[in-house]
Amino acid sequence: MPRQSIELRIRRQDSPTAAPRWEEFSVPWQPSMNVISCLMEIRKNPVTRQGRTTTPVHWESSCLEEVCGSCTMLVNGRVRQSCTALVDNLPEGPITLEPMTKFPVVRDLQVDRQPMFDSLKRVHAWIPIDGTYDLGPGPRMSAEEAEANYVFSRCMTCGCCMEACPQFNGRSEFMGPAPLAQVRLFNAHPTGRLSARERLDQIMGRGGLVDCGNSQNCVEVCPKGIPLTEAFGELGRQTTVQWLKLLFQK
Amino acid sequence: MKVSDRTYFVLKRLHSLTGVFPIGVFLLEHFYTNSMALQGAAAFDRAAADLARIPYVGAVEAFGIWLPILLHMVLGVFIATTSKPNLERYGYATNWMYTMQRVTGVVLIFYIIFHTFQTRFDPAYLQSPSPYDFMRKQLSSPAMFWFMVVGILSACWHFGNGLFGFAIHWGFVTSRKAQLRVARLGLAFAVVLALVALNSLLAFTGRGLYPDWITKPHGQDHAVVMDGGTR
Ligand code: SF4
Ligand code: SF4
Ligand code: FES
Repeated sequence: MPRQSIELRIRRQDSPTAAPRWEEFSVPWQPSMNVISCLMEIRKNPVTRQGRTTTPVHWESSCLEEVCGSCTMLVNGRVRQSCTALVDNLPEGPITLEPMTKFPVVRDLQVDRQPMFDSLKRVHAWIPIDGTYDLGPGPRMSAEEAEANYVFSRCMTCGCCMEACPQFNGRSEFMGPAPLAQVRLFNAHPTGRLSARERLDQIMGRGGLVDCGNSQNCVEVCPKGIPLTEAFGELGRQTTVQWLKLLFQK
Repeated sequence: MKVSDRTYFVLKRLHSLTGVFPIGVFLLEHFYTNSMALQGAAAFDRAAADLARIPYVGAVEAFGIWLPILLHMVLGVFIATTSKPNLERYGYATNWMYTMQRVTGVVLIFYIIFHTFQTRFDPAYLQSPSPYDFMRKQLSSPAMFWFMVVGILSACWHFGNGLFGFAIHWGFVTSRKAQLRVARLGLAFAVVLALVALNSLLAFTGRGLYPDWITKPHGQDHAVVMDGGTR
Protein backbone atom coordinates (compact mmCIF):
# COMPACT_ATOMS: atom_id res chain seq x y z
CA MET A 1 0.00 0.00 0.00
CA PRO A 2 1.53 3.34 -1.01
CA ARG A 3 1.93 5.94 1.69
CA GLN A 4 -0.39 8.95 2.03
CA SER A 5 2.41 11.40 2.64
CA ILE A 6 6.17 11.19 2.56
CA GLU A 7 8.20 12.11 5.63
CA LEU A 8 11.74 13.29 5.02
CA ARG A 9 14.63 13.91 7.41
CA ILE A 10 17.24 16.06 5.72
CA ARG A 11 20.69 17.01 6.93
CA ARG A 12 21.15 20.66 6.10
CA GLN A 13 24.17 22.90 6.03
CA ASP A 14 23.99 26.55 4.91
CA SER A 15 27.58 26.91 3.75
CA PRO A 16 30.82 24.89 3.59
CA THR A 17 31.77 26.06 7.06
CA ALA A 18 28.34 26.26 8.75
CA ALA A 19 27.30 23.70 11.35
CA PRO A 20 24.96 21.00 10.02
CA ARG A 21 21.42 20.56 11.38
CA TRP A 22 18.49 18.23 10.76
CA GLU A 23 15.12 19.33 9.42
CA GLU A 24 11.95 17.30 8.88
CA PHE A 25 9.48 17.72 6.06
CA SER A 26 6.28 16.09 4.95
CA VAL A 27 5.11 16.16 1.32
CA PRO A 28 1.94 14.67 -0.22
CA TRP A 29 2.40 11.39 -2.07
CA GLN A 30 1.95 11.30 -5.83
CA PRO A 31 2.45 8.38 -8.23
CA SER A 32 6.02 7.58 -9.36
CA MET A 33 7.78 10.06 -7.09
CA ASN A 34 11.53 9.94 -6.63
CA VAL A 35 13.67 11.68 -4.03
CA ILE A 36 14.28 14.63 -6.37
CA SER A 37 10.57 15.24 -6.94
CA CYS A 38 10.14 15.25 -3.14
CA LEU A 39 12.82 17.93 -2.93
CA MET A 40 11.01 19.89 -5.64
CA GLU A 41 7.80 19.69 -3.60
CA ILE A 42 9.66 21.07 -0.58
CA ARG A 43 11.00 23.88 -2.71
CA LYS A 44 7.44 24.92 -3.59
CA ASN A 45 6.64 25.38 0.07
CA PRO A 46 9.72 25.25 2.32
CA VAL A 47 7.98 24.74 5.64
CA THR A 48 9.18 22.06 8.07
CA ARG A 49 6.88 19.45 9.58
CA GLN A 50 6.90 21.54 12.73
CA GLY A 51 5.46 24.46 10.72
CA ARG A 52 8.59 26.59 10.66
CA THR A 53 9.39 28.39 7.40
CA THR A 54 12.91 27.64 6.22
CA THR A 55 15.07 28.01 3.13
CA PRO A 56 14.49 25.64 0.19
CA VAL A 57 16.68 22.55 0.34
CA HIS A 58 19.61 22.76 -2.03
CA TRP A 59 20.76 19.81 -4.17
CA GLU A 60 22.45 19.09 -7.45
CA SER A 61 21.05 17.10 -10.36
CA SER A 62 21.09 17.15 -14.10
CA CYS A 63 20.23 14.12 -16.24
CA LEU A 64 17.57 12.58 -13.96
CA GLU A 65 18.33 9.17 -15.49
CA GLU A 66 21.41 7.96 -13.61
CA VAL A 67 24.02 8.89 -16.17
CA CYS A 68 25.51 12.16 -14.89
CA GLY A 69 26.14 11.19 -11.27
CA SER A 70 25.60 14.70 -9.92
CA CYS A 71 22.61 13.85 -7.69
CA THR A 72 24.56 11.31 -5.58
CA MET A 73 23.79 11.47 -1.85
CA LEU A 74 23.11 9.20 1.10
CA VAL A 75 19.53 7.95 0.96
CA ASN A 76 18.64 6.16 4.18
CA GLY A 77 22.33 6.03 5.00
CA ARG A 78 23.41 4.37 1.78
CA VAL A 79 25.13 6.16 -1.08
CA ARG A 80 23.19 6.21 -4.36
CA GLN A 81 21.68 8.44 -7.04
CA SER A 82 18.67 10.27 -5.69
CA CYS A 83 17.05 10.57 -9.14
CA THR A 84 16.57 6.81 -9.38
CA ALA A 85 15.60 6.44 -5.71
CA LEU A 86 11.89 5.82 -6.28
CA VAL A 87 9.85 6.57 -3.18
CA ASP A 88 7.61 3.51 -3.62
CA ASN A 89 10.68 1.26 -3.60
CA LEU A 90 12.03 2.68 -0.34
CA PRO A 91 11.02 1.02 2.94
CA GLU A 92 8.19 2.44 5.08
CA GLY A 93 9.02 5.25 7.46
CA PRO A 94 10.81 8.55 7.01
CA ILE A 95 13.37 8.91 4.24
CA THR A 96 16.73 10.21 5.45
CA LEU A 97 18.80 12.35 3.10
CA GLU A 98 22.40 13.36 3.80
CA PRO A 99 25.20 14.74 1.64
CA MET A 100 28.12 12.43 0.90
CA THR A 101 30.59 12.41 3.78
CA LYS A 102 33.88 12.09 1.90
CA PHE A 103 33.66 15.31 -0.11
CA PRO A 104 33.38 18.88 1.18
CA VAL A 105 29.78 20.07 1.46
CA VAL A 106 28.93 23.08 -0.70
CA ARG A 107 25.44 23.50 0.67
CA ASP A 108 22.79 21.09 2.02
CA LEU A 109 22.93 18.01 -0.21
CA GLN A 110 25.45 19.33 -2.73
CA VAL A 111 29.09 18.38 -2.36
CA ASP A 112 32.26 19.32 -4.22
CA ARG A 113 33.67 16.27 -6.00
CA GLN A 114 36.77 18.16 -7.12
CA PRO A 115 39.22 15.83 -5.28
CA MET A 116 38.10 13.02 -7.59
CA PHE A 117 38.58 15.15 -10.68
CA ASP A 118 42.01 16.22 -9.46
CA SER A 119 43.01 12.57 -9.13
CA LEU A 120 41.78 11.87 -12.66
CA LYS A 121 44.12 14.64 -13.81
CA ARG A 122 46.94 13.26 -11.73
CA VAL A 123 46.70 9.82 -13.38
CA HIS A 124 46.34 11.24 -16.93
CA ALA A 125 42.89 9.74 -17.41
CA TRP A 126 42.72 10.63 -21.09
CA ILE A 127 44.22 9.68 -24.42
CA PRO A 128 46.79 12.20 -25.67
CA ILE A 129 45.87 12.90 -29.28
CA ASP A 130 46.29 16.65 -29.38
CA GLY A 131 49.07 17.79 -31.68
CA THR A 132 49.96 20.21 -34.41
CA TYR A 133 49.01 17.86 -37.24
CA ASP A 134 46.42 15.16 -37.97
CA LEU A 135 47.57 11.88 -36.44
CA GLY A 136 45.26 9.81 -38.65
CA PRO A 137 42.96 7.05 -37.45
CA GLY A 138 44.00 5.17 -34.32
CA PRO A 139 44.90 1.49 -34.27
CA ARG A 140 42.06 -1.04 -34.37
CA MET A 141 40.87 -2.84 -31.28
CA SER A 142 39.41 -6.35 -31.21
CA ALA A 143 35.70 -6.57 -30.40
CA GLU A 144 36.55 -8.59 -27.31
CA GLU A 145 38.94 -5.95 -26.02
CA ALA A 146 36.52 -3.14 -26.82
CA GLU A 147 33.82 -4.90 -24.84
CA ALA A 148 36.08 -5.38 -21.80
CA ASN A 149 37.09 -1.71 -21.94
CA TYR A 150 33.58 -0.41 -22.50
CA VAL A 151 32.37 -1.24 -18.99
CA PHE A 152 35.08 0.98 -17.50
CA SER A 153 34.17 3.86 -19.81
CA ARG A 154 30.69 3.92 -18.24
CA CYS A 155 32.02 5.59 -15.07
CA MET A 156 30.05 8.79 -14.43
CA THR A 157 32.35 10.04 -11.61
CA CYS A 158 29.40 9.94 -9.25
CA GLY A 159 31.64 9.19 -6.26
CA CYS A 160 29.60 6.29 -4.81
CA CYS A 161 32.67 4.05 -4.78
CA MET A 162 34.73 6.78 -3.11
CA GLU A 163 32.09 7.32 -0.45
CA ALA A 164 31.89 3.61 0.44
CA CYS A 165 35.67 3.09 0.39
CA PRO A 166 37.05 2.77 3.95
CA GLN A 167 40.51 3.72 2.68
CA PHE A 168 39.37 7.00 1.08
CA ASN A 169 39.11 9.48 3.96
CA GLY A 170 40.71 12.47 5.59
CA ARG A 171 43.34 10.33 7.32
CA SER A 172 44.65 8.76 4.15
CA GLU A 173 46.21 10.07 0.95
CA PHE A 174 44.48 7.34 -1.09
CA MET A 175 43.12 8.67 -4.39
CA GLY A 176 40.19 6.23 -4.25
CA PRO A 177 38.79 3.61 -6.59
CA ALA A 178 37.29 5.60 -9.49
CA PRO A 179 40.52 7.22 -10.79
CA LEU A 180 42.35 3.87 -10.54
CA ALA A 181 39.74 2.15 -12.69
CA GLN A 182 40.29 4.82 -15.35
CA VAL A 183 43.99 3.97 -15.42
CA ARG A 184 42.95 0.42 -16.24
CA LEU A 185 40.76 1.78 -19.07
CA PHE A 186 43.26 4.11 -20.68
CA ASN A 187 46.20 1.73 -20.30
CA ALA A 188 44.24 -0.81 -22.34
CA HIS A 189 43.54 1.54 -25.24
CA PRO A 190 45.92 1.04 -28.21
CA THR A 191 46.85 4.74 -28.24
CA GLY A 192 46.48 5.30 -24.51
CA ARG A 193 48.89 2.43 -23.95
CA LEU A 194 51.70 4.63 -25.27
CA SER A 195 51.62 6.60 -22.04
CA ALA A 196 50.87 3.63 -19.78
CA ARG A 197 54.14 4.09 -17.91
CA GLU A 198 53.31 7.64 -16.86
CA ARG A 199 49.99 6.47 -15.43
CA LEU A 200 51.60 3.56 -13.62
CA ASP A 201 54.21 5.95 -12.22
CA GLN A 202 51.40 8.00 -10.74
CA ILE A 203 49.57 5.11 -9.12
CA MET A 204 52.79 3.54 -7.80
CA GLY A 205 53.31 6.55 -5.57
CA ARG A 206 51.83 7.71 -2.30
CA GLY A 207 48.05 7.54 -2.30
CA GLY A 208 48.13 5.13 -5.23
CA LEU A 209 47.06 1.56 -5.81
CA VAL A 210 48.96 0.15 -2.83
CA ASP A 211 46.65 2.05 -0.48
CA CYS A 212 43.63 -0.05 -1.48
CA GLY A 213 42.71 -2.41 1.38
CA ASN A 214 40.54 -4.84 -0.63
CA SER A 215 37.31 -4.26 1.23
CA GLN A 216 35.65 -4.39 -2.20
CA ASN A 217 32.89 -2.02 -1.05
CA CYS A 218 33.49 0.04 -4.19
CA VAL A 219 32.42 -2.71 -6.54
CA GLU A 220 29.37 -3.48 -4.40
CA VAL A 221 28.01 0.08 -4.54
CA CYS A 222 28.95 1.14 -8.09
CA PRO A 223 25.63 1.87 -9.82
CA LYS A 224 27.21 1.22 -13.21
CA GLY A 225 28.42 -2.26 -12.28
CA ILE A 226 32.02 -1.33 -13.03
CA PRO A 227 34.32 -4.21 -12.01
CA LEU A 228 36.62 -1.95 -10.00
CA THR A 229 38.39 -4.72 -8.11
CA GLU A 230 39.22 -6.51 -11.36
CA ALA A 231 40.91 -3.30 -12.42
CA PHE A 232 42.94 -3.37 -9.19
CA GLY A 233 44.05 -6.96 -9.87
CA GLU A 234 45.11 -6.01 -13.40
CA LEU A 235 46.86 -2.87 -12.20
CA GLY A 236 48.49 -4.90 -9.43
CA ARG A 237 49.95 -7.08 -12.16
CA GLN A 238 50.99 -4.08 -14.30
CA THR A 239 52.70 -2.35 -11.38
CA THR A 240 54.44 -5.56 -10.31
CA VAL A 241 55.88 -5.96 -13.81
CA GLN A 242 56.78 -2.29 -13.97
CA TRP A 243 58.55 -2.51 -10.62
CA LEU A 244 60.52 -5.61 -11.63
CA LYS A 245 61.55 -3.85 -14.83
CA LEU A 246 62.80 -0.88 -12.84
CA LEU A 247 64.65 -3.22 -10.46
CA PHE A 248 66.36 -5.37 -13.03
CA GLN A 249 66.65 -3.24 -16.14
CA LYS A 250 67.45 0.22 -14.92
CA MET B 1 57.72 11.05 8.37
CA LYS B 2 57.43 11.53 4.62
CA VAL B 3 58.90 8.89 2.36
CA SER B 4 59.39 9.13 -1.39
CA ASP B 5 56.83 7.69 -3.78
CA ARG B 6 59.02 4.77 -4.78
CA THR B 7 59.99 3.92 -1.19
CA TYR B 8 56.32 4.01 -0.26
CA PHE B 9 55.48 1.52 -2.99
CA VAL B 10 58.33 -0.80 -2.02
CA LEU B 11 57.42 -0.67 1.68
CA LYS B 12 53.79 -1.49 0.98
CA ARG B 13 54.78 -4.37 -1.26
CA LEU B 14 57.23 -5.61 1.39
CA HIS B 15 54.42 -5.51 3.92
CA SER B 16 52.37 -7.74 1.64
CA LEU B 17 55.27 -10.06 0.83
CA THR B 18 56.56 -10.55 4.37
CA GLY B 19 53.08 -11.61 5.50
CA VAL B 20 53.37 -14.72 3.35
CA PHE B 21 57.10 -15.17 3.21
CA PRO B 22 58.68 -15.57 5.71
CA ILE B 23 55.99 -14.91 8.34
CA GLY B 24 53.34 -17.23 6.92
CA VAL B 25 55.87 -19.96 6.30
CA PHE B 26 57.16 -19.57 9.84
CA LEU B 27 53.61 -19.87 11.16
CA LEU B 28 53.20 -23.20 9.38
CA GLU B 29 56.52 -24.44 10.78
CA HIS B 30 55.47 -23.27 14.24
CA PHE B 31 52.21 -25.21 14.11
CA TYR B 32 54.12 -28.26 12.87
CA THR B 33 56.46 -28.14 15.85
CA ASN B 34 53.59 -27.50 18.26
CA SER B 35 51.79 -30.56 16.93
CA MET B 36 54.71 -32.64 18.18
CA ALA B 37 53.13 -32.14 21.60
CA LEU B 38 50.52 -34.70 20.54
CA GLN B 39 53.24 -37.34 20.70
CA GLY B 40 54.15 -36.39 24.24
CA ALA B 41 56.62 -34.35 26.25
CA ALA B 42 59.74 -36.06 24.96
CA ALA B 43 58.79 -35.59 21.30
CA PHE B 44 58.01 -31.89 21.77
CA ASP B 45 61.12 -31.18 23.81
CA ARG B 46 63.23 -32.90 21.16
CA ALA B 47 61.61 -30.80 18.41
CA ALA B 48 62.27 -27.61 20.37
CA ALA B 49 65.89 -28.62 20.96
CA ASP B 50 66.30 -29.44 17.25
CA LEU B 51 65.15 -25.93 16.34
CA ALA B 52 67.72 -24.46 18.69
CA ARG B 53 70.40 -26.42 16.82
CA ILE B 54 69.64 -24.93 13.39
CA PRO B 55 72.93 -23.62 11.94
CA TYR B 56 73.25 -19.82 12.29
CA VAL B 57 70.13 -19.98 14.45
CA GLY B 58 70.61 -16.47 15.83
CA ALA B 59 70.79 -14.92 12.37
CA VAL B 60 67.90 -17.05 11.07
CA GLU B 61 65.80 -15.93 14.00
CA ALA B 62 66.73 -12.25 13.72
CA PHE B 63 66.51 -11.83 9.95
CA GLY B 64 64.06 -14.59 9.12
CA ILE B 65 61.50 -13.97 11.85
CA TRP B 66 61.94 -10.93 14.07
CA LEU B 67 62.89 -8.33 11.49
CA PRO B 68 60.12 -9.28 9.01
CA ILE B 69 57.53 -9.40 11.80
CA LEU B 70 58.66 -6.03 13.11
CA LEU B 71 58.44 -4.53 9.63
CA HIS B 72 55.02 -6.07 9.05
CA MET B 73 53.82 -4.75 12.42
CA VAL B 74 55.04 -1.19 12.01
CA LEU B 75 53.68 -0.86 8.48
CA GLY B 76 50.50 -2.63 9.56
CA VAL B 77 49.88 -0.11 12.32
CA PHE B 78 50.38 2.69 9.81
CA ILE B 79 47.93 1.02 7.40
CA ALA B 80 45.37 0.56 10.16
CA THR B 81 45.55 4.26 11.02
CA THR B 82 44.69 5.22 7.44
CA SER B 83 41.46 3.25 7.61
CA LYS B 84 37.99 4.52 8.42
CA PRO B 85 35.86 1.40 8.85
CA ASN B 86 32.22 1.68 7.80
CA LEU B 87 30.71 -1.72 8.54
CA GLU B 88 27.60 -0.15 10.04
CA ARG B 89 26.65 1.27 6.65
CA TYR B 90 28.14 -1.29 4.27
CA GLY B 91 27.98 -4.75 5.84
CA TYR B 92 29.34 -6.72 2.88
CA ALA B 93 31.23 -9.95 3.53
CA THR B 94 34.44 -8.54 2.08
CA ASN B 95 34.08 -5.41 4.22
CA TRP B 96 33.85 -7.67 7.31
CA MET B 97 37.00 -9.40 6.16
CA TYR B 98 38.71 -6.05 5.65
CA THR B 99 37.76 -4.86 9.12
CA MET B 100 38.62 -8.14 10.84
CA GLN B 101 42.02 -8.11 9.16
CA ARG B 102 42.78 -4.87 10.97
CA VAL B 103 41.29 -6.00 14.28
CA THR B 104 43.21 -9.31 14.29
CA GLY B 105 46.35 -7.43 13.29
CA VAL B 106 46.15 -5.24 16.37
CA VAL B 107 45.36 -8.24 18.61
CA LEU B 108 48.39 -10.02 17.17
CA ILE B 109 50.74 -7.19 18.07
CA PHE B 110 49.96 -7.70 21.76
CA TYR B 111 49.87 -11.45 21.43
CA ILE B 112 53.16 -11.80 19.58
CA ILE B 113 55.06 -9.46 21.87
CA PHE B 114 53.79 -11.36 24.91
CA HIS B 115 54.32 -14.80 23.38
CA THR B 116 57.86 -13.95 22.27
CA PHE B 117 58.73 -12.75 25.74
CA GLN B 118 57.11 -15.79 27.32
CA THR B 119 58.94 -18.41 25.26
CA ARG B 120 62.18 -16.65 24.48
CA PHE B 121 63.15 -14.29 27.30
CA ASP B 122 61.18 -15.26 30.40
CA PRO B 123 63.78 -16.62 32.88
CA ALA B 124 61.23 -19.20 34.06
CA TYR B 125 61.14 -20.56 30.54
CA LEU B 126 64.88 -20.43 29.98
CA GLN B 127 65.57 -22.27 33.23
CA SER B 128 62.88 -24.86 32.73
CA PRO B 129 64.40 -28.23 31.76
CA SER B 130 61.37 -29.08 29.64
CA PRO B 131 59.64 -26.55 27.34
CA TYR B 132 56.67 -28.92 27.26
CA ASP B 133 56.41 -28.84 31.03
CA PHE B 134 56.69 -25.05 31.07
CA MET B 135 53.84 -24.68 28.58
CA ARG B 136 51.74 -27.27 30.41
CA LYS B 137 52.03 -25.24 33.62
CA GLN B 138 51.33 -21.96 31.83
CA LEU B 139 48.23 -23.38 30.18
CA SER B 140 46.81 -24.69 33.43
CA SER B 141 45.65 -21.11 34.00
CA PRO B 142 42.34 -20.63 32.14
CA ALA B 143 43.12 -16.98 31.44
CA MET B 144 46.36 -17.96 29.70
CA PHE B 145 44.64 -20.77 27.83
CA TRP B 146 41.97 -18.48 26.40
CA PHE B 147 44.48 -15.75 25.65
CA MET B 148 46.37 -18.26 23.53
CA VAL B 149 43.15 -19.40 21.85
CA VAL B 150 42.45 -15.80 20.84
CA GLY B 151 46.02 -15.40 19.60
CA ILE B 152 45.88 -18.59 17.55
CA LEU B 153 42.52 -17.76 15.98
CA SER B 154 43.70 -14.24 15.13
CA ALA B 155 46.89 -15.55 13.55
CA CYS B 156 45.02 -18.13 11.45
CA TRP B 157 42.47 -15.59 10.26
CA HIS B 158 45.08 -12.92 9.55
CA PHE B 159 47.18 -15.32 7.51
CA GLY B 160 44.33 -17.07 5.63
CA ASN B 161 42.51 -13.85 4.81
CA GLY B 162 45.78 -12.08 4.08
CA LEU B 163 46.34 -14.44 1.16
CA PHE B 164 43.32 -12.83 -0.53
CA GLY B 165 44.84 -9.36 -0.38
CA PHE B 166 48.24 -10.71 -1.32
CA ALA B 167 46.87 -12.34 -4.48
CA ILE B 168 45.22 -9.10 -5.63
CA HIS B 169 48.03 -6.71 -4.68
CA TRP B 170 50.57 -8.63 -6.70
CA GLY B 171 48.17 -9.22 -9.57
CA PHE B 172 47.93 -13.01 -9.30
CA VAL B 173 44.14 -12.93 -9.58
CA THR B 174 42.19 -10.43 -11.62
CA SER B 175 38.61 -11.59 -12.25
CA ARG B 176 36.11 -11.13 -9.45
CA LYS B 177 35.26 -14.82 -9.52
CA ALA B 178 38.88 -15.81 -9.09
CA GLN B 179 39.32 -13.24 -6.32
CA LEU B 180 36.39 -14.61 -4.35
CA ARG B 181 37.64 -18.14 -4.96
CA VAL B 182 41.00 -17.18 -3.42
CA ALA B 183 39.15 -15.60 -0.50
CA ARG B 184 37.22 -18.81 0.16
CA LEU B 185 40.32 -20.96 -0.18
CA GLY B 186 42.24 -18.70 2.17
CA LEU B 187 39.53 -18.82 4.81
CA ALA B 188 39.17 -22.61 4.46
CA PHE B 189 42.91 -22.88 4.96
CA ALA B 190 42.59 -20.68 8.06
CA VAL B 191 39.97 -23.05 9.49
CA VAL B 192 42.17 -26.12 8.96
CA LEU B 193 45.16 -24.32 10.46
CA ALA B 194 43.10 -23.24 13.46
CA LEU B 195 41.93 -26.80 14.12
CA VAL B 196 45.48 -28.11 13.96
CA ALA B 197 46.82 -25.34 16.18
CA LEU B 198 44.05 -25.60 18.77
CA ASN B 199 44.55 -29.35 18.93
CA SER B 200 48.23 -28.88 19.69
CA LEU B 201 47.27 -26.38 22.38
CA LEU B 202 44.95 -28.99 23.92
CA ALA B 203 47.79 -31.51 23.72
CA PHE B 204 49.71 -29.50 26.32
CA THR B 205 46.79 -29.92 28.69
CA GLY B 206 46.60 -33.65 27.93
CA ARG B 207 43.32 -33.30 26.03
CA GLY B 208 44.57 -33.32 22.44
CA LEU B 209 42.74 -35.50 19.94
CA TYR B 210 45.02 -38.10 18.48
CA PRO B 211 42.84 -40.83 16.96
CA ASP B 212 44.57 -43.83 15.43
CA TRP B 213 42.99 -43.64 12.02
CA ILE B 214 44.49 -40.27 11.30
CA THR B 215 47.79 -40.50 13.08
CA LYS B 216 48.91 -44.09 12.77
CA PRO B 217 52.64 -43.90 11.95
CA HIS B 218 53.79 -45.51 8.70
CA GLY B 219 56.66 -47.04 10.63
CA GLN B 220 54.36 -49.59 12.20
CA ASP B 221 53.17 -50.76 8.80
CA HIS B 222 56.76 -51.38 7.75
CA ALA B 223 57.42 -53.23 10.97
CA VAL B 224 54.48 -55.53 10.28
CA VAL B 225 55.75 -56.28 6.78
CA MET B 226 59.25 -56.95 8.06
CA ASP B 227 57.94 -59.20 10.78
CA GLY B 228 56.08 -61.18 8.15
CA GLY B 229 59.25 -61.45 6.10
CA THR B 230 61.46 -62.81 8.82
CA ARG B 231 58.95 -65.28 10.06
S1 SF4 C 1 33.28 3.73 -10.64
FE1 SF4 C 1 31.07 3.55 -10.38
S2 SF4 C 1 30.69 4.31 -8.33
FE2 SF4 C 1 32.72 4.98 -8.87
S3 SF4 C 1 32.46 7.02 -9.69
FE3 SF4 C 1 32.41 5.62 -11.43
S4 SF4 C 1 30.27 5.12 -11.72
FE4 SF4 C 1 30.43 6.06 -9.70
S1 SF4 D 1 38.51 -2.44 -2.62
FE1 SF4 D 1 40.01 -0.84 -2.26
S2 SF4 D 1 39.27 0.89 -3.43
FE2 SF4 D 1 37.55 -0.54 -3.25
S3 SF4 D 1 36.44 0.18 -1.46
FE3 SF4 D 1 37.89 -1.36 -0.74
S4 SF4 D 1 39.72 -0.25 -0.12
FE4 SF4 D 1 38.45 1.14 -1.38
S1 FES E 1 20.59 13.48 -11.96
FE1 FES E 1 22.10 12.52 -13.19
S2 FES E 1 22.43 10.72 -12.12
FE2 FES E 1 20.78 11.54 -11.01
